Amino acid sequence: MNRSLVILLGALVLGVALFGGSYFAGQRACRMTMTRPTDDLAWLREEFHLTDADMAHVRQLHEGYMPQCAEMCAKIAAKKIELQTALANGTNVTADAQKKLIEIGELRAQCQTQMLQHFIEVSQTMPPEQGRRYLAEMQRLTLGFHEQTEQSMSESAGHEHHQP
Amino acid sequence: MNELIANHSQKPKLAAADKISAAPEPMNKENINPDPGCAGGFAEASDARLGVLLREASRNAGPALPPRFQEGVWRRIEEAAAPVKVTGGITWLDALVTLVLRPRLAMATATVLIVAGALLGVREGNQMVKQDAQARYLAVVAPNSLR
Repeated sequence: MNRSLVILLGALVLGVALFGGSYFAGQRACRMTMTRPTDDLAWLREEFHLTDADMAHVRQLHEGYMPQCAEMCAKIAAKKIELQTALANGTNVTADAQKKLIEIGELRAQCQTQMLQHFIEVSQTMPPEQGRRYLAEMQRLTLGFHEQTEQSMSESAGHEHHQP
Repeated sequence: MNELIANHSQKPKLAAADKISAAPEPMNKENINPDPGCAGGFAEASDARLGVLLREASRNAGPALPPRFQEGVWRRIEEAAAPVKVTGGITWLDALVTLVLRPRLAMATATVLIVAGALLGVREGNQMVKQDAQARYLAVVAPNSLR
């Protein structure tokens, strides 16, 4: 192989290695210095620029909400086990299984209502602009997931209808 | 009155200048031989002798030239005079390598690559930290079964 070509390829590889190495080193250093594994609410403070007083209010609301959330989650989990038992006995969707599905849906709706109520309360402890942003972001993250799924499924169904 | 006197005094000078410019030059490009009487006869004699020599040379010429000899000669002359063509694109590669291996440029390039990589890495790391923190908060307040 030509000597010049070998030198040029070597320089190119060296350049890529330098860039890649410094990229990963920078990324790792940033993650190591900025991650706070002990605080679940660290994101709120950073993202919405909350003061210590704001954070104290948010923390109080958070600690009040967590037992309610855990209770609802336990109820949903128990109902899911009942549904699996009802489905395991036969190949059809029985009346009992249907009843369990409805109950799970109701529990989820209650839990989501409770969750949204908590988000509204938290948003009210923040400065107005940050509160609006927080509420919109939380609604997008918690409720938007289903909308995206439903939208993608309806789009794919529509495409199928157009196929010959 | 003064003008008349000035014109009268300048006229002899102009006449002398005219005489100088009109004088025959003894030697120039067309007349190399300063003795015009001998030149014509000598040249004629030389031409005659040259003509005789040329005729003798053409009669005593060796074997006939090969066909398209003249064309071949001109072709070889043109080939010899043409610039040497570079094959394989080696020259630009060598020039590039010479440029890349200059210490200043190499150091500057390496510095730019390291700084750019580190900045991009820090930016990406910052983004990832934010996403991790957001996911952590969401996992606490909104379990996956509700999303």
